[in-house]
Amino acid sequence: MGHFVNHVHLKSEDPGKTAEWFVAAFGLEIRGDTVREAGGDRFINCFDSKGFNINISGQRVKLGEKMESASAEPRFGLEHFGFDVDDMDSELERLTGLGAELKDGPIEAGGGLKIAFISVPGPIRIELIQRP
Amino acid sequence: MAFEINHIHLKAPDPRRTAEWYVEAFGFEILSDTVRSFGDRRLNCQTPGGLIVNISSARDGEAMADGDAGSHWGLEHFGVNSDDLLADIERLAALGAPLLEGPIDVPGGNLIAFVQGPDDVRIEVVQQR
Repeated sequence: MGHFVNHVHLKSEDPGKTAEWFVAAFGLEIRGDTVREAGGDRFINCFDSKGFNINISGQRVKLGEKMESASAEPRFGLEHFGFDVDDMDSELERLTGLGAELKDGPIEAGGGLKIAFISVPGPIRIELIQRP
Repeated sequence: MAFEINHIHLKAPDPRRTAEWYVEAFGFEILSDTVRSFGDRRLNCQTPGGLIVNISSARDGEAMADGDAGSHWGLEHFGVNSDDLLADIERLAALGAPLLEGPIDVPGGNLIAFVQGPDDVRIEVVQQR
């Protein structure tokens, strides 16, 4: 099988609201929405257009999980993930209309590549990439 | 349009060292290693499943906060498949990634554990069943 990356995981105080935001913003498909037995956390399975899994869940209250705050600022470690977009300017307008905040860019990254960083509800740092 | 995840991105004070750790730990392939116009060194890596994972240092003038391998809101972790979770926990610990939590036998689900990767990255190791 090998060590392939099988999901990215977002934690939210309101996983339903966060999942709905990602559905509206990035067209994610929700394939599962359950409360897990072990943690007592609401757990929502979402997938991007190519079938990559993004899980969105709440606090595992039954395990006494203590949550630290989120950050959409530059940091070491797992900092952000990126989505491809067809048109940077119109996507920035659409996404900020949905409540995202532009953090950085748009930046001409060379060779016609255009990137920008936004903060979305969480907060979560997301990169948008418009390929040439 | 249909949206697709382009990559996930790790930031590291020494991105080459971190990338080499993922090569050894999870079989990542380093596709390129360049210094960008932003002043950061960036290694473009690919996982065995084809996902791109970029690993880079701070950009010029960029103030960096620390990573967080504990439970936290927002973008918390990513998961990597394992054929043998118990063997991988031992192997990863020997590579410098201590066990944070588990192994947890999820009722009706997978066998999972959380380890602390380089630069305080929280990684879930998942043995699917």
